[in-house]
Amino acid sequence: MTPLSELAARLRKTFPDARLDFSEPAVPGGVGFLDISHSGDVLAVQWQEKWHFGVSSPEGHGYGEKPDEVYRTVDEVAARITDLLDSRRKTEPPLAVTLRELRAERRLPQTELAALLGVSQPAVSRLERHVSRMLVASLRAVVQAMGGRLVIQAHFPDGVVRQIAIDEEAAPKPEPERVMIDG
Amino acid sequence: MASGGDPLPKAQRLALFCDRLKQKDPAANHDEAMTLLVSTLHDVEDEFSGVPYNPEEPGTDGRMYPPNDRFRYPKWERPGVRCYRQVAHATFVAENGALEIRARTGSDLGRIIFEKQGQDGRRVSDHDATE
Repeated sequence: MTPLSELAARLRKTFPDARLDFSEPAVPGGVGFLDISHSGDVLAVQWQEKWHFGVSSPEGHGYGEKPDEVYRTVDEVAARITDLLDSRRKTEPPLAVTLRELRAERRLPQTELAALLGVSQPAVSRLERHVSRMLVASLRAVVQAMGGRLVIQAHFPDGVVRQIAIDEEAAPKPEPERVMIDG
Repeated sequence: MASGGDPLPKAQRLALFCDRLKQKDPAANHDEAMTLLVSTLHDVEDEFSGVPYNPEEPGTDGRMYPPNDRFRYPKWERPGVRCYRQVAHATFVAENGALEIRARTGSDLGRIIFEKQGQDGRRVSDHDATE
C-alpha cells in the first residue's frame, strides 16, 4: 500500500459519504493525486515521494501554483484533512500579500477604495506603503471596504494557532492623518 | 524584478501569459509546444511575479510553475494528447503542437481558459473527433 492509497483508505473510513478520486503517479518519481469532495467542499491532494503530501483548496489557485500546505506523514495529512472537512475551512497558503496586491485582486481602483473610505486617493496610496504603521482599526476599515473581514492570528512554535479578538468598537474613519501614521 | 515595478496579481499574470502564448508561432509537435509554454510562463513570472524560481520548495511561493513529466495524468489523456495535471488546472498538449489549459474542480474538468492550435491548424479538441 502506498502512502497515498493509505490516506485514501483512512479517509474512506472517516468520511464514508465523501467522493474520493485517487490515482497513483503515472511515472517513477511522479505525482499522485487524490481529489476529495465532501458536502460541497473540495480538497486536492498531491503526493510525491520527494515532497510528500501537498493539500490545497483549489478555488483561486493560480495556474501551476504549488500546494498550499505540505505534510510529511499520512498521520499529519489525514488529521489536517479531517479538520478541514469537519470545520469546512479552506487551506491556508503561507503567503502574505501586500495591501496593494489585495486591492488589485479585488479589482478595486485606488479612487474607488478612497471613495468607500471617505479619504483621498493619495491617502490610499500612502496607506498602502505604510501598512506596518497603521492602526488595527484602520486596517480593519480598509479590509471591510474591500468586502472582507480582518482576522489576526498568532502562530506559536509548538504549532498552536490562536485568533486574536478585535474589539467590535466601530472602526474610525481612516482619515488621511490616521491612515498615514507618519503624517 | 525585470519590469522594475510592483508585482502583478496572479490573475493578471495568467492573462499576460495567455496573451503572449497566443501570439507565438504555433508549435509543430508536443515537445515544441511544451518548450513554448514553459519559456513563456517563466518569462512572465520572472518579470512580474516578484518571486524567484525555486522548484525545490514543495509548498506554494506564489509563483506559477509550468507542468512537466512528473504531472502526467493518463486518466484524462486520449490518443495523440497528453495531459499534465496540477492543483487547479490541467494542461493538454497534442502531438501536433496544439495546447489547451482547463480549470478543474476536484476530479471534474472545468472551462477552457486557453487554447492554441498546432502548426497544422488543429486544436486539442479536434483530436477527440478524428482519432
